Formats: sequence, C-alpha cells, structure tokens
Amino acid sequence: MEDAHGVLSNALAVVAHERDHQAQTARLRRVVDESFDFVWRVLRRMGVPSRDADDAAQQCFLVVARRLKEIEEGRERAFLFQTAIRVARNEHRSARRRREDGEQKLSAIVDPAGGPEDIIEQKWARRTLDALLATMPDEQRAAFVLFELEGLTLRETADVLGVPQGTAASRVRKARQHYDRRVRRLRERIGNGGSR
Amino acid sequence: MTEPRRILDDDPDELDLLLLGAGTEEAPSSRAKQRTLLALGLAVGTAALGAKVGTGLTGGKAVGSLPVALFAKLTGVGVVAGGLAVGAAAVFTSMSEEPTARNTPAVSAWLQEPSSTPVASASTVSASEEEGLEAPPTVASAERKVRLAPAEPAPRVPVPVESSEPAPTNALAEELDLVERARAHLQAGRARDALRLLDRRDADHPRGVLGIEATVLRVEALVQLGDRAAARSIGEAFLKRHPRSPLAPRVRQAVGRVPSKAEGEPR
Repeated sequence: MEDAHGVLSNALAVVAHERDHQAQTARLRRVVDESFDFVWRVLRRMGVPSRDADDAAQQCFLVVARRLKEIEEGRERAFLFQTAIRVARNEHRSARRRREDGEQKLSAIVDPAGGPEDIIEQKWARRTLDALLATMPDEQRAAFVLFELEGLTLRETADVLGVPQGTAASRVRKARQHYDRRVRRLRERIGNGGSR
Repeated sequence: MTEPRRILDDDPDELDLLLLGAGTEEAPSSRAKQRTLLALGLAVGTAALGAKVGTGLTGGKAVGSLPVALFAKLTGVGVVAGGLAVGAAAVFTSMSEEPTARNTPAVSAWLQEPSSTPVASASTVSASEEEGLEAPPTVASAERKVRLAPAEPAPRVPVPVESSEPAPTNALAEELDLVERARAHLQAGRARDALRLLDRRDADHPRGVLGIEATVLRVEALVQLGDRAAARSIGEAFLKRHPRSPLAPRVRQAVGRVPSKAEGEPR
C-alpha cells in the first residue's frame, strides 16, 4: 500500500513538474515574441553595431531563460531592458570614450569642408541619431530611448529603469535638454553649410 | 506627477522627425528572432515564419541627389551648389555600398552567412571599426509571410519525427527543421542520428544561416558519442572564431573548459 502511495506521489510530482516546465516554456516563448524587437532596438540605440545586435539580443534572452523562474510575472521587459543595457556596455569601451567618440562623430556631421556628398537619408539620420545618443550619459540615454523613442509612459519608463518616477522624469528632462542643445548646433551647422 | 512633453508632441521640425524616425524604424530581421528561438530550444516550426520587412535602411533613393534635397528640406533653402557635405569617411563609410542582396524581398536574402566575425574586445574596438559597414537588417519591401507545414512542437523527451509531411517550401525552413530535429535527437540521447542530420544540413545548406547553432550541436553530439578529440578540435576552432558568441559557454562546457562567467546578468 505504501509502495502504491509512493508511486502515485512520484507520478503526481512528475506531472506537476512537466506542467511547470510547459508553462515556463510557453512564458519564455511569449517573452521572446513580445519583446525581441524591443530588445534589439534598445541594443542598437545603446550603441551595439548592427553586425553584433543579433548575437547581443540572443545573449539577453539566454540570460532571461536562465533566470526566468526568478523574474516576477509582468516584469520580464524590465529585466530584459536592464540586461540589454549591461550587454551593450560589455560590448563597448569606457563610457567616457563612448561619449568622446560620439562628440567627434557628431561634430563631423555636416562638415562644410568636405566629405562625400552622396548620402542616403535614412542612413544619415540613423548615424546622426546614434552619434548624438553616444554623447549622452548612459542614464539619460536609457531614459531617452525608452521615453522618446519607444514611447513608454513616464511610469513605464521608471518601472523598466527600476527607479522612482521622479528620478525617471529628471533623467528624461536632462536627456531632452542634451538632445535640444546638440540638435540646435546641428541645425546651425546645416544652416551655415547651406549659405556657402 | 506631470509627464514631461515628448519631442514628438512639442512641435517637432523636420530634423526631429527624421532623427526620431530613424530610431524607431530600424528592426531586426526575422531570422535573428528565429535563431534566438532555436538557441533557446523553443519550437520554431509551428509559427508562421514571417519575413517581416520593415522600412529598413536601404533607402532606395538615388545616391547623389539626396543631400541637396535633404538640405533643402531641412533649411527651407532652395538648391544650393555643393549640397550637403557629410563628415569624413570614418563617420560615413562606403556610401556606394548598396546591399542589393538585402534589397531582395525573398527568402534568399536570409541565406547569407550571419556575421561570424568575433566581436573585438573592448580595448581594441576603434571608432572606425564600430562605425563600419552596418548592413541594414531589414529590406524595404512589402510584407511577406512564408508559411511552414505545421510541425509538432519538440517534446521534452523527444522522438523526432522523420517526416512524411511535405517538405518545407523554403531553404530557411528546411535548415531550421534539420537543426531542430538534430537537437531533438541529441536530447533523446541519439547522437549518431543528430550527427547524420547535421551532416545533411551542412551538405544541403553550405551557406545557411544556422552554421553556428549547428556547430555547437555537433560538438555536443561528439561529446555524447565519446569522441572527445573531435569535439575538442571543432570546439576550440569555434571558440577561437566566436569567443563572445552567446553559445560559447555551451561549447566551453562541452569540451571541458572552465565555463566563462555569464555576462550581462543583472545582479
């Protein structure tokens, strides 16, 4: 009798384990379906070159897969975002060097002194945006990417960043000021280039 | 708390729209997602394999005429001699590159070998390398979906289906099917069957997009068969070529090297 009870308990445990595994698999699949593009875009806007973005995105989801049971339901996107930020950082040089390179690239844009004239509009815009983002401190950049580019609300931005709303609002505002300053200079250079 | 005003809600001009649009229109290729699903061991056959084709970066506008048009649009000034001069080559590389292969809205665009150049270490990446040829991930074309014959999801202790179903109708789907079935055999302890399918994958798709995943499975299959020498040989070559691949830890573990610290995990 005890043996039968033991066998039954084991069988029930196996079934429960299998159900749990299937639920986790379904959850992981859902997370990938819902968030893959978002993670990929975040990686790109945080400076990962397009040739590395696929692998970097895959890395993020491998991390999520390993940690899925620890991640609260509904918090997957926040976890993914934070993972993406770290992965992007790992791919790059120091924050200071990133910003310096960004400034250099941004100042080289619309150089009336020379350079190839044949550009493709979207490529130009993307590279300009990436150079501009590279000049931002990482915290502001992350907030800008979420709020201005991905269109999250302030509350969602704070949630994904894992900070209070006030902190998120402050970062968004500073990022906006930074953006406005750089774009103003860009407009001036475009204007100067046109008048020659 | 008052929500800050977004740029797009704050009377954006053409330049704002151009820059912000560039940030949101870029999208990964569908093969990137499929490769991730495969790496996670998630069934890929049951999903419609969509070739989501977004507004990508290949433009399509004629090189040479655009700078002036762009300039005029941004400044409101008419055509000006000299047009819009762009920064040095270090910033904008190879303007003549027109990734025509990627402009083809066909599955064949997916058959290009994925980038397999190792990611340079943090100390050696230079700005010009980083700003190198960045191939647009999507192609500017109408959306197209490629449907697979529905396949069974990979069971946990799988019995691979030696298919009597009609063959998939495109190369990527075929390659995915072979690799996924090889994985299922491997998980079931049938390394020889896995290697057989991987050999077939190599022969039928020499330039397929799943080369990395197939190599990792091959290493694991060889380990399972007890052929450690062959596993190590292939594994070491893989690690030399792809030291920072997301699948590198699996290879290290398979060939008995000390697993590397998982990167990027939030604490």
